[in-house]
Amino acid sequence: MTNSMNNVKAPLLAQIGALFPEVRLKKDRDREITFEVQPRDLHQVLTYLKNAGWRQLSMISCVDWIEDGQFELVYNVFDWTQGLRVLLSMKIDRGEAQAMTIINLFDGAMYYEREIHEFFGVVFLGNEDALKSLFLERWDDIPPLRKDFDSRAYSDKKYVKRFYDPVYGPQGGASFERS
Amino acid sequence: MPKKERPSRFHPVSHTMQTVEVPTEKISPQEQAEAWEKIAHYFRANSLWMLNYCTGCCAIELPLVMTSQYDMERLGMMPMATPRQADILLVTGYASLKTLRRLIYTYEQMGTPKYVVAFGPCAVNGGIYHDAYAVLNRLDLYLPVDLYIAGCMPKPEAVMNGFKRLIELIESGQATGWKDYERRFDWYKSNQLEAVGEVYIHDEFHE
Repeated sequence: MTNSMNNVKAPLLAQIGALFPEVRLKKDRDREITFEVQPRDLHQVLTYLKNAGWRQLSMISCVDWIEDGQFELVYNVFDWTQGLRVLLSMKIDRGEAQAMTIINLFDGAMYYEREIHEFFGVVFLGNEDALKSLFLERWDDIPPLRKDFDSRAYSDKKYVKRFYDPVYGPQGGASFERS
Repeated sequence: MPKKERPSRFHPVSHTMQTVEVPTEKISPQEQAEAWEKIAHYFRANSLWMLNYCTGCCAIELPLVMTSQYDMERLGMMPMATPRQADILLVTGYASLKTLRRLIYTYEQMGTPKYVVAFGPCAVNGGIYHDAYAVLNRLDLYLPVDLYIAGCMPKPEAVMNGFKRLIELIESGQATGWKDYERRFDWYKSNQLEAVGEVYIHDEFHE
């Protein structure tokens, strides 16, 4: 498909392909390109992108692929002059759950890394502040957005519930007595 | 054609004060206190300041209630920015662990008399968040709730009805949650501590 975006995308794809042979194109959408990167390439790819115009780190997100035993970290950078978003998808081991920090490249990554550490338990090496809690106060269980965390069991254990005993009438309707 | 009679609550001008019978014989201090309490209830019900603090998603119904479309000012209610001068604490939806600490701080800063209005099913039994890891299921264990407003989320009409009901409760002296909080303070405190561990709020930016 030819459109105006190809003028922007073509040099980016060519450069990335030439500089980083291990980086693989995963998905190419209208204004959003996704690359798969290896953890050892991440900082170089991000440095290249930052110098080439992708100056804004929009967010870092995390996906728990529990069956593959992996976490997927997605770095989302945006270029305001070209209106093009680049996603860098990086798989890390779920048991070890360690990644290098990128706060030396993007200061704002601090809070995304803190959040991911809090909700997924990923440790970002080089960012000691990320070990502090950000949203959850006095959390006492495994990180709550991991797929093996049972929210209902935790809620049942920790919070007092309100139970109802339905009393079924002759017409089938139920009235609830508070207990 | 006779003019249609409207509820006096919506016509502050025509709203006449309740008459308090003044007995001729000497009355006991107990009866005196009760009479004064009735007078106090009347004035409390007619000047209510609602704290501008909201917890969950039900808060989205409040702009309509506060502004010209439903206009809660005709009930004698106005928003207030500080808890020190507010009468009503609205818990508009779910209270998470983190919110409950702030709610307790806020509630204890308010001067008596104070009233708590809870919105939606989340405050009753957790609602759709009953199995969430950070949402408390029963608000009444931690704060004395005077009135629940049903609906997920309650429409502005329901909120207005609820406020009218709250005014009736205050006027008749039935909204006594704050007295209950004083009487059973230890019970409420133990529930709060059991749920949130520590009520004190640690703030890394100010410590």
